[in-house]
Amino acid sequence: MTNTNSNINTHSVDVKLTNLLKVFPSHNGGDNFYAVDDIELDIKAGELVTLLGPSGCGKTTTLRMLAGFELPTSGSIHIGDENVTNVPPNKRNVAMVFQSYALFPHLSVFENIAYGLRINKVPKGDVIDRTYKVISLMHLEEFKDRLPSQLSGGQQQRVALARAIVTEPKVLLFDEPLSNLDAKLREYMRDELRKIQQRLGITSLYVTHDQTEAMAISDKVVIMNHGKIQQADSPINIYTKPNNHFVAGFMGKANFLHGVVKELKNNMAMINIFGKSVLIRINDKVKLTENGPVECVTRPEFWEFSDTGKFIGQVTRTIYLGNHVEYEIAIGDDTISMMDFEHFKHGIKQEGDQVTLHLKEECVSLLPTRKEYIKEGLA
Amino acid sequence: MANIPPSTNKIESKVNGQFKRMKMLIKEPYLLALIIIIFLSLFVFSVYPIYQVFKITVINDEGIIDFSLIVETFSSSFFLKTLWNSIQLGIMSAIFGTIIGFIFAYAVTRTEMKGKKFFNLVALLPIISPPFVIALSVILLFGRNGIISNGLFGFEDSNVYGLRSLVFIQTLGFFPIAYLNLKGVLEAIDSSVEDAALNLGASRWKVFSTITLPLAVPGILSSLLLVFIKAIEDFGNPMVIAGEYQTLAVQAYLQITGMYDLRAGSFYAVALLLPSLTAYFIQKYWISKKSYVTVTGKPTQTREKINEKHIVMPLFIFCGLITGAVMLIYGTVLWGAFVKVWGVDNTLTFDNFKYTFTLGFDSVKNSLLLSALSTPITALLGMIIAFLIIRKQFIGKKIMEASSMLAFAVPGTVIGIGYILAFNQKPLLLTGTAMILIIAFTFRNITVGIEAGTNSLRQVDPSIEEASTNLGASSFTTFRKISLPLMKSALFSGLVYSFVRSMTSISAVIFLISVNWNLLTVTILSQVEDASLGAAAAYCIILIVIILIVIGLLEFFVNYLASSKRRNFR
Repeated sequence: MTNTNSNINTHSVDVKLTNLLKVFPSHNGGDNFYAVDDIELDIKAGELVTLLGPSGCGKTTTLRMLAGFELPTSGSIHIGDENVTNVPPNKRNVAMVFQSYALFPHLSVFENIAYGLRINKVPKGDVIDRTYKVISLMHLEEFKDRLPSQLSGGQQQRVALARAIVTEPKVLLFDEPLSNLDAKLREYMRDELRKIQQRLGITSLYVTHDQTEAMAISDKVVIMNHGKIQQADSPINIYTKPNNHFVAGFMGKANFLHGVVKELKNNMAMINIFGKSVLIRINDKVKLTENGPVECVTRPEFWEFSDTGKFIGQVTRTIYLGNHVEYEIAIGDDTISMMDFEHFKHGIKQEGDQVTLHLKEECVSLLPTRKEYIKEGLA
Repeated sequence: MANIPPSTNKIESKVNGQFKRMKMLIKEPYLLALIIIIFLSLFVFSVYPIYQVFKITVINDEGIIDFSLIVETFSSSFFLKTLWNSIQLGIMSAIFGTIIGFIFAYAVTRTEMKGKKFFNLVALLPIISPPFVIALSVILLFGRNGIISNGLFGFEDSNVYGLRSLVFIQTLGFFPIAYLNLKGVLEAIDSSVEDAALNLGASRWKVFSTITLPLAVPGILSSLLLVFIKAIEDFGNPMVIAGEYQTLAVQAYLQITGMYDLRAGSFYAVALLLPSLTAYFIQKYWISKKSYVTVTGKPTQTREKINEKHIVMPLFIFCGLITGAVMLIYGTVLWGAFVKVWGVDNTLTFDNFKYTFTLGFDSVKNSLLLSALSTPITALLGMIIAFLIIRKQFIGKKIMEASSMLAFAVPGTVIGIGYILAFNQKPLLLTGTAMILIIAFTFRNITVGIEAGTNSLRQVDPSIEEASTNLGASSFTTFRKISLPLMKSALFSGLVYSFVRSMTSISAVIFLISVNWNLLTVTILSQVEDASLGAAAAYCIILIVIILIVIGLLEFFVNYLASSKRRNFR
């Protein structure tokens, strides 16, 4: 599709990674390192997909293979209809925004942005026109003659983005682009970045280890660990319907509780947790048997103080955080973490206080037992 | 794929990876061609000549392998004495040079001593002048007609020739190498480490002996080795002043030019090569790995300098004495250039300069021309190889790195002999031409450019170049528009250093000059041997002045180039 809403023309294309494998041979005769272990990923035209995971999970390697800086050991990469697996990085027309911005220190802001156009032999007049368009889009007019060293971090970030989009690339790649900014600016730039990406409609792949960032900007979040995709889904499904223990634990805080299935009927399961019965909707990825074990994910905000609650516990730790209070509460032999956003109504509990808790049962999700997802190769 | 056992997959993926990289290279045919050309030229002009030197020592005139020369020479007491002389000289010079260099470096980097800039400047003089200037000066000062030996003390027959003078000269001539090396090491030690020791209650002396000195040990060892190498391979000073004290470099030359015995000369050269090459590679690969210095790219806070009088004063006096000695040496040469007949008729005159202009200005022109031709080639080639080594993946990268170092690590004597052996017949008939001198300059100095280039490239975030590639630039465009401008200061030091080394070199080129292509350093040496000390001094002054002017011009040129590039780019 052609995006005509903005003054920069882009043609959105699909991206397809098939059986992508990247093995780094070991140097000391040990096992090879499977940086990216046989992954499949489809990115629809105009989508922003985030690769999220701990360091060493293979997300950056995947991104660099798409850019052409790493060659896959096997598998293929398609951008649109073209197989680019063996196309050199300077012929791919994918633009990358680097973690360190990688601005050319000896060139002015204007020349940094114009660089890609000049390299691609765009006629001189067009270079100036297009560069100015992007400069005004990114609000960089007053900095255009400065050197990168004379810019603040946020300004450098904008130059880096401007330099990437000016060539009207098929795909935009982001390698943790906001990790060098302070918290406030990071949030602001995150929203700016998403707005521009949506406005231009450029298919984008975004690498980060910050889950909030991933949630905030993505059409689809891909959680990776040990070179494998753990789950690729919309942000809401990732959070509320995690595939496995890793995804549930990585995205947000989670209390993992072990329960026993008492009864199965329709699409609901009666599960015994801490000696109390709770009714939870069944997830079709999970096979349950009556009297069998099950792992439940309860987020801290699924719990609330309520005099009519089923669970009785004791506060072991109180952390006041302004808009909410975090508690650690011992129930039986287990400890759960909970968040209370209504502390101004019923006060702040002290360590040692006895409390009654209600669990919002409709929110709880079930996980396959470890055995099951080892079988599926997800561990 | 994931289920393939790692052990079988390992080799496969390694081979596969190499193969893929080659495939990527083929997509950039110019890059591939460049790599092949560099390999070929390194092989022909660095590896092959050195191989020839080895070959001639074990293959006799009939072309049969014959170890008799080696056996004979090794059993001759003259050879063993010469070998021991060289090593003895190397060790003594290394120890004294490193001690002086360390004290200088410590004083400059760690104290509030006055006159640091001046000391620093004077210490660089021996580096930018031909080494045997000091020998010449010592003769002027302490020789038969020396102003100190004869003029001051009235000795009639002072004998300045021999080991003691030689150690003195080489210490003074080569301590700046140790100084620069150790200055870099001491500056790179994170100041917070020393601050931490002070904070824990250590005295200045304790900080020095338990922190600074141990951390500088790798630097000290590498300085020792570097000065050792310089001292044993030095040709000019021993030639002028060693007298009866024979060294390998001089003997190799005398065997070839005096006795016309190429084989024996080559053997002396090989004997010289082995210790110096060993020392070089120990320095390069073993000691530099042990270095405690970590490059973090974090801006280090400014170091708090030592200001206590009882520490600064002795250091100041020491540095002052050494600096004074260096200035006395060079001042004497300057004076000598303007004196009618040294020690006999001390009236000031321009006669010496007139003599150089009328009699032998060709060699000045030759030196200047050939150095000027080889300098840009050397520097640019050095930058290119640095770029390839740091940033590109290709088969044989390590070999390229090692062979580019070879002609630098090997004593000039070996290169000189190797070149006459390798290039005296078709298709590579180069002996007697200007070309052979330019090539010798280029390949002997290229390492300097590579080292400067690799050091500065390591400080450039690779993603800056990736960004350029990502925006569509080929490797060449990226090199020209991004990497090279960022290596500006390395380019400058590469240019300066290769020019200085070309202008002042003697040990290799003395084998390669011809009637048509004589060089300035060789002219100076023959003037000294003819006892025309005034003319020799005048030539030395001309040489130093040329070098200073060219350094100034280069600095201007490199700055101009960088700034004009930015303007044109707009």
